[in-house]
Amino acid sequence: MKDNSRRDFLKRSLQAGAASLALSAPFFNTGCSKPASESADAPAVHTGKKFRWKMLTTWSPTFPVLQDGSKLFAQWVREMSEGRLDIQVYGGGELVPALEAFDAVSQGTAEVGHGASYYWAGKAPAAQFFAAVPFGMNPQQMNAWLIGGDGLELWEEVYAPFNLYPFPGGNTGIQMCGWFNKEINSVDDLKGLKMRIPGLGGKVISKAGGSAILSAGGEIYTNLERGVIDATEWIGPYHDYMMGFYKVARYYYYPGWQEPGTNFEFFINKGAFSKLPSDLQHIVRNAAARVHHWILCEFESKNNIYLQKLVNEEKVDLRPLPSEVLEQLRTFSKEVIDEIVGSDPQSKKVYDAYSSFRNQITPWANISEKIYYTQNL
Amino acid sequence: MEILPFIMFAAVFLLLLLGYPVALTLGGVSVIFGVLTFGFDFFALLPLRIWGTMTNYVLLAVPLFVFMGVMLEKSGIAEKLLETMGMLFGRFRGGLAIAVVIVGTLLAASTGIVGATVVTMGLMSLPAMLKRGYDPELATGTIAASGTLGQIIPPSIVLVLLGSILNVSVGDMFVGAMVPGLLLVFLYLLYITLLGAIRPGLMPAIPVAEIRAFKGGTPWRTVIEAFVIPFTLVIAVLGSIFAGIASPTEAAAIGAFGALLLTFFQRKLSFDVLKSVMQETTWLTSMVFIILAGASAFSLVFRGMHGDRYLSEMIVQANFQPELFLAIVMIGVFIAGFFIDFIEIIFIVVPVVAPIFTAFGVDLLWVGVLLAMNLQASFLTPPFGFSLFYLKGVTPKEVTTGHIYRGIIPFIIIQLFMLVLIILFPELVTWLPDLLSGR
Amino acid sequence: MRFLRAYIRAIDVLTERTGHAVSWLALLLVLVVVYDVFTRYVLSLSSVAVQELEWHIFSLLFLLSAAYTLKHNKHVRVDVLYVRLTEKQRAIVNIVGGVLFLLPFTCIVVFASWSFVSNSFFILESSPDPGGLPYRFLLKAAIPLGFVLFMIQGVAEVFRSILVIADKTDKTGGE
Ligand code: NA
Ligand code: NA
Repeated sequence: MKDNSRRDFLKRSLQAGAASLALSAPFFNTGCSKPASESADAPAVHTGKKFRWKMLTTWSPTFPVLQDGSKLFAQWVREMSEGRLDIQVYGGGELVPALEAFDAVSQGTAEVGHGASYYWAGKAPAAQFFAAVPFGMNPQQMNAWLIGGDGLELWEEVYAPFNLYPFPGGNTGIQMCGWFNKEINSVDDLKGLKMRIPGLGGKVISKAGGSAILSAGGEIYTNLERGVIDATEWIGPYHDYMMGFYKVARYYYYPGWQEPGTNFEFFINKGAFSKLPSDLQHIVRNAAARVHHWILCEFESKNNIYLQKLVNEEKVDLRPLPSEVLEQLRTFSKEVIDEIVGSDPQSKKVYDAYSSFRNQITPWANISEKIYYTQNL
Repeated sequence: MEILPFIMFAAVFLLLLLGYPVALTLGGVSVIFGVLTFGFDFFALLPLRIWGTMTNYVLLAVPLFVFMGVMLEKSGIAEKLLETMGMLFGRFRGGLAIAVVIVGTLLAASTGIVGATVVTMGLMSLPAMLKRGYDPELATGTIAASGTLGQIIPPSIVLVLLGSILNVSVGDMFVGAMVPGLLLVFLYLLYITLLGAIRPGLMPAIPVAEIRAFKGGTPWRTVIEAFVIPFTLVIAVLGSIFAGIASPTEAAAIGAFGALLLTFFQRKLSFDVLKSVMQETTWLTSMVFIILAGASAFSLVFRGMHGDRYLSEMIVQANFQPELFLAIVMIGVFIAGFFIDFIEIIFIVVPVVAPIFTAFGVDLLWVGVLLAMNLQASFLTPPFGFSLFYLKGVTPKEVTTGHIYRGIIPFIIIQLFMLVLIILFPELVTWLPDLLSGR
Repeated sequence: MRFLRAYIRAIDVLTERTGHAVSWLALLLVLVVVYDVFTRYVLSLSSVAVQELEWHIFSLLFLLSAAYTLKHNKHVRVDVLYVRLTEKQRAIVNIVGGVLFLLPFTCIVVFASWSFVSNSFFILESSPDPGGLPYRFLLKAAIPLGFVLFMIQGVAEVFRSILVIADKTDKTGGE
C-alpha cells in the first residue's frame, strides 16, 4: 500500500502543477457565486466575424435523443447567431472515437464536445460525480446543485487543468435497473450474477458478489441471448426498446439505482470560448441551457411511451428490486464511493459538497416531491 | 475544393499500384494531402483514432483467430483436415473448395471480424488447394468470399452498426440476415459445382489411385484423426458461444487454445513451432492493424475535407421515386465500397438516407439487410477490398494480387445477384423475423 | 556507405530483438482470455483488470511489432506491377515510398501523439472503471514508441534499397 500512497502523492503534486499552470489564465475568480464561464472576458462588440467550430460527441452519429440534442445545439447556435457561429457536429467515430472527444477538445483540435463526465474518471476521478452516483441525486436535485448551488463551480475547477469549461448538457431522467434472466428476490441472487454494468455500479455489483462484465456495445445482445451474461443495464425504456433486449431477457427490473438520472455535459475549449465576442458567448450558454432542458423532457416523454409499448405490446415482466436488495446495494455503494473519496482529495472535496447539498435539500424534497408521489396527489 | 477529396482518392488509387505497402501508402498520401490542406495541428486527431482501435475490444478476435489458423497450419492439422475432406468428396469436383465454403460459413457464425476469418481461412486452406492443382484465381476467390461471410451471417458488426443507426433492433437484424446469408452460401456452392462441371481443369479431382489407396488403408482412422478431431475444435468455438460460455470475441481464444492443445496431443508442438506461430501471428496482426491505422488516416483527412458531405449530397440529390432512390443508394454504396472502410460508409451514408427511406414508408429492416449485403461486397471489390489485402498477406509468392483481383469477380457478381433477389423478394428478409416474433 | 551499413545492422538487431520479445504477447493474449473465460464460467468470478489487460496486450502486440513486420516485408503490397519490376526498380519504389509515405506518416503520428501522451502522463491517467488497470498513460505511450521503432526501421529499409541501387547489397538483414 506504500506504493499506492507514493503514487497518490506524485499524482497530487502533478495535478497541482497542472492546475496552477492552467489557472494562471486571467478569468479565474474566487468568491464569486457565478461560475467562471459566466465572466469569461470578451469584447462586447458585435462584430460580423464568422467562427467555425467542430463539435465532437460521445454518441453514435444517430443515437436517439442525445445526438439529436447535440445537433439541436449546433442548430440553435447557428440560428441565434445568424450564422456567425457555425458548428459542425461529429458523432462518435466520425472524426475521433467516441471517448476521445475530451482529449481532442482539451487540446483544442475541436472546440466543443458533448458527453458524460463519468467517461473521464480515469483522468480526474472527481469528474464522475457530475454525471451519476449510485443512489445519488435525481435530476431535479442534481440541477439544483449544479445550477442553484455550488456544483457547476466545482465542476469548472475539476475541468480547469484540462483547459475546458463544462456546461450541463441534458439528463436521462431516472434510469431502469436493467434486463435480467435471473430473478432477484434476495441479496443471495446477486451472488454469481454476471451483469454488464460499467463504472461505479459495476463495482457495487462486484461487492455484492456478482461479476461486472465489460461487453462491447454490439455484443451485449448476443451475450445476453446466449447467457454469457445474466443481465445488462442500459438506459431507460426508449433506448432499451431500440436495443431489443426484451427479446432475450425475462425480467425488466427497476429502479435504476446505479444511475438515478445521468447528467450530461457540453465541454468547451477555454481558448476557443474566450475568442468569441460576448454576444456569441451568451448564445452558446443559452443554447446549452436549452438543450440541457430539452434532453430531459425528451427522455421523460419517450420513456413514457415506450414503457407502455414494452408492457402492453411486448408483455414484458416488469419488476421492482426488493427493498432488502436495494438497501444492501446502497450500503455497498457507500463503500465504493468512500474508497474513491479516500484516495483522491479532489473527489473528496466534490463529493463532500455533493452530499452536503443533498442532505440539506432532503427535508424539502420529503415534503414536496416525495409526498406528492407517495400520497398519489 | 469540392473536388479535392476525390483527387486524394485517385492519388491513392494510382499510388497503390506502385506496390509500396498498402498501409503506408494510405497513411502517407493522407498525411501529404492533410498537411497541405489543414496544416499539422489537424493530425492531433490521428493518435486518438489509433487509440480508438486499441480500445476496440471486439478486434481482439483478430490475433486470436490468426493464432488458431497459424497453429493449425504449422502443425499440419489444417492440411490433413482439408486433404481428408477432399478424399471424402472423392471424385466429386471442387470438393476442397466446397469444404472451404463450409468452414468459412462456420467461422462466420462465430465471429464478424473479417480480417480474422480471411487470414485464418487463407492460412489453412490455400496451400492445400494449390497443392491439389486448383486454379489460384478460383482458390483465392473462394477463400476471400468465404472468409468474408461473417458480415452477413450473424453475429456481425456490420449488422449491429446498421441496426443501431437505422433504429432497428439488433435481434431483428440478426434474424433478418439469416436467410439471405445462407442463400448466399448456397449460391457459392452452386457456382463451384457448376464451374467444376463446365471447366474441370480449374479444380482437378483427386486421382482415382489416391482415393483407392485412401479407402484401402484405414480410412476411418484417418478420418477420425484428421477430420473429427479438428472439427471438434470448430464445434468448441461455436459451442462455447451458443452455450453462453464465451462471447464471440472470446470464443476465438478458445479456438486458439484448443489448436494449441490439439497440436500438443498430436505430438507436433515443439518450441520452434510455438515460436514460429507466435511470430507469424504477430506479423499478420500488425499487418491488419497498420492497414487499419493507414485507412484511419485516410478517412480522417477525407472527412476533414468534407468528402463525406459531398458523397452524401450526391446520394440525396437523387431525390426521385423510392425505386430510383434505392438504386442510387445501392450503387453509391457499392462504388464507395471500392475505396472506404465499411464502418465509414455506414457512418457517412446511412444516417443521411435512413430518414428518407422512413419517409417513403420502406421497411428499415429490409434496407438494413440490403446495405449489409452490399457492404459485404465492399470488402471484396478491387482494388480497395480489405479482404483482398488480408488474403494477400498470407498467400505464397507465386499468387499475385492480380490472381486475387480476378478470382473474386465471380463472387462479387453472385453477391450482386443476391442483392437483386432481396430487392425483388423482400420476404427473404422479413419472413423469418415475422415468423419468430410476430413483428 | 559504411554508415548506412552500420545503421542497418544496428537497427535490424534492435527490431529483431523487440519483435521476438513482443511476439510472446500473442501467446500471453490467448492464455489471458482463456483464463478470463474460465474464471467467469466455472468460478463465476470476473475482474475488470483482467478484461482490460486483454486489449492492453493486444494493442502492444500490433503497435510494437509494426517495425518487425516491416523488416520481414509482411506489410501487404498491391503487387500487380511490383512483381514485374527488376530488383533495382523495386528498390526505387521502396526508396520513394519510404521517403514520401513511411517517413511522413510515422513522423506525424509520433509528433501528433506528443500532447496526447504527455497530458496522460501529467495526470497519471488510469482506467475510468473502478477496478481497472491504473497505468493507462503507459499504454498510450506505446503509440509513439511503436511508431518511432517503425520509423527507424523504415529508414533502415530505405538505406537497404540505396545499397541495392549502389549494387552493394547488404546480405546481413532482411528476410
Ligand atoms: Na445506464
Ligand atoms: Na458473423
